[in-house]
Amino acid sequence: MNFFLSYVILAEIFAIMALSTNFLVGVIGIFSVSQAALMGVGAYAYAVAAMAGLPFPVALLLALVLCAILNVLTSLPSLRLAGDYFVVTSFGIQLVATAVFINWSDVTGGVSGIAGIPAPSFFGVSTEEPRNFIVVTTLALIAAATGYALLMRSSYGRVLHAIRLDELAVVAAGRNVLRLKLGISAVSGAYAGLGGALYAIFLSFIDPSSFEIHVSVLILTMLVVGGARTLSGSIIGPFILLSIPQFMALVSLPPTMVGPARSLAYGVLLVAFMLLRPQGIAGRRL
Amino acid sequence: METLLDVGNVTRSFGGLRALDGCSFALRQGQVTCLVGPNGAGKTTVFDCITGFLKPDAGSIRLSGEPIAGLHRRDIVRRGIARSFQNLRLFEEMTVIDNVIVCLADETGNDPITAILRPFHSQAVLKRKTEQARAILETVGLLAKADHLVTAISFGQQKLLCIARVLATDAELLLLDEPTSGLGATALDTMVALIRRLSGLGKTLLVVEHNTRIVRDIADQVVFMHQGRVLAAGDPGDVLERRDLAEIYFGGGH
Repeated sequence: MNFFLSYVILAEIFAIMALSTNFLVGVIGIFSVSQAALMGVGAYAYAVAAMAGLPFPVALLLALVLCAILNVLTSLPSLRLAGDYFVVTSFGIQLVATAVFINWSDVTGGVSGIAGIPAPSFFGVSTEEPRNFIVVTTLALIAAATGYALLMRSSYGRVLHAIRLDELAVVAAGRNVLRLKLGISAVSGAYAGLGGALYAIFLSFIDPSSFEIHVSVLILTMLVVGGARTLSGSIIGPFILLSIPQFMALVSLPPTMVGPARSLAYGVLLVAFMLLRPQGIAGRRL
Repeated sequence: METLLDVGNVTRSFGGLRALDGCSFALRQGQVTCLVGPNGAGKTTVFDCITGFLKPDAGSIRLSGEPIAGLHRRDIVRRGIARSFQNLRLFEEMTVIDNVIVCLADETGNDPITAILRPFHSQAVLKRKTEQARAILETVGLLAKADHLVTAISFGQQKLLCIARVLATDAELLLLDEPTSGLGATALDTMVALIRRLSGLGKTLLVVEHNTRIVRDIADQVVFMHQGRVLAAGDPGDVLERRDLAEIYFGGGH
C-alpha cells in the first residue's frame, strides 16, 4: 500500500513540475531544460529554512519566492535569444546549478546532501507518514491545477498564447511583452519551488543527483507524453512515466540493469511520442 | 483641417540603399490618405518608421506636434498609432474574438496576480473585454464569426479581422498595409465600405493601395512615392491624372 501511495505522491509532485514547465515550454514557447535545477533550488531552500527551525509556511514561502525571482532572472536571456539558442543557455543554467549544489557544501551539504528534513504537522497531525502527506500533495496539486486553469482562461492567458504564436503582432498591439513574459516566468518559478519543497519533505533527504539534467529531461518527457499546453496532459504525463519503474519491478531485472533500463524506457517513449504523436495523449502539438 | 501626423524629411538607409530619401508629407485629422507608388518606393518603410519598427536615420515625425521618432513601438501604439501588416500576422490557432481581445487597449487583468488570486475579478474583466471585442467585430461585420478559429474563416474575413485588431488598440491613426490586396470583388466592396465607415467614425487613415480605382473611391488625399521621396501629394484627381506619375507607376507601358 505504501508503495502505491509513494507512487501517487511522487506523480503529484511531478505534475506540479510539469505544470511549471508547461507555462514556459508549452504556453509561451520558452524551451527550458533547467526545470530540475529550479526544483532543486526550491528543495534546498525549503530544507535549509526548515532545518533552521522556520515554520512550514515561512519555509515554503521562501522556496516559492526565491524560485520565482531566480526563474525571472534566468528567463531574461530568452527575451533576446530565439528558441534554439535559449535551449543552450538553459542547459548551461542546469549545469551551473548542479555544480553549485555539489560545491556549496556549507549550505547544501555537498554530495552527501541534506538528511532529516522535517515534515510539517497540521492540527497536531504529522505528515511524515505517506498516508497523511498525500493529503498535502493532493491539495497542492489541486491548487496548482486551479491556478493553471484560471490563468489560461483569463485575458492574460490569451495574450500569452498570442505571444507564442506571433510575438511581433502582440508588440504591434502595444503590449509590453517583456513584462508579460516575466510575469509567467515568476509563476512558473513559484510552481517549481512548490514542487521542490514538497519533494524535499516527502523524501526527507535531498542530494544533487535528484536535480540533474536527466530529471529536467524527464519532466519534459512527461509534458510531451501527456500533451503540452493542456492541464490534463501535465497530470497524465507524470502518472504514466512514473508508473514505468513500478511495472519494471514486476520483471525481475538484475539490480545493475534497473537504472539503465528505466532511462531506456523513458528515451524510447520520448522518441516514439515525438515521431508518432507529437501532440501527446491530451492532444496539442508542442 | 488640423494636421495629425507630420512626416518631415525622413531618411532611412539599409546599407547602401536609401529606402527613404527626404520623405515628407502630412496627414490631416479624419481624412483618408492613400500611399501609392511602384514596388520598392518605400511605402512599407514609411509605415515601419512611423510605428517605431524602424528608427529613421534623420528627419522628424510628429503626432499632433509631439515628436515620436525613436519612441518604442509600444509607446507609439499607446499614443494612438496602430498598424496592420501586409502578411496579416493573425494568431491562427486562436478564435476570431480572442484575436481582438489580445489587442484591446485595456491592460487590466493582463497579469498573473489578477488571473490566479482574483479569479472573479479576472472573469469580470474578461467579460467586459469580450463585450468590447464583440462591438468591434460588429463594426467590421464579423460578429457572426466571433467564435470561429481564424483558420476557419475566409481570406476576406481574415483581412477584416486585421482591421478589427487595429481598431481594438483604440488608436486614432490607423495605418493599413494593402488591406484590399488579394480580395475578390465582393470582399473588396466590403473592405472599401469599411474604410469609409472608419473615416466616418473620425479615424484618420493612411492606406497603402495599388488599385487606382479604389484610391479614387476612398482617398481624400494621395501621396505618391518613388525611390524614397514624395513626388506629389494632394487631391486624388490631380495626382492620379498626372501623366509623368502614371509613367513611373505603370512603367510607361499603359
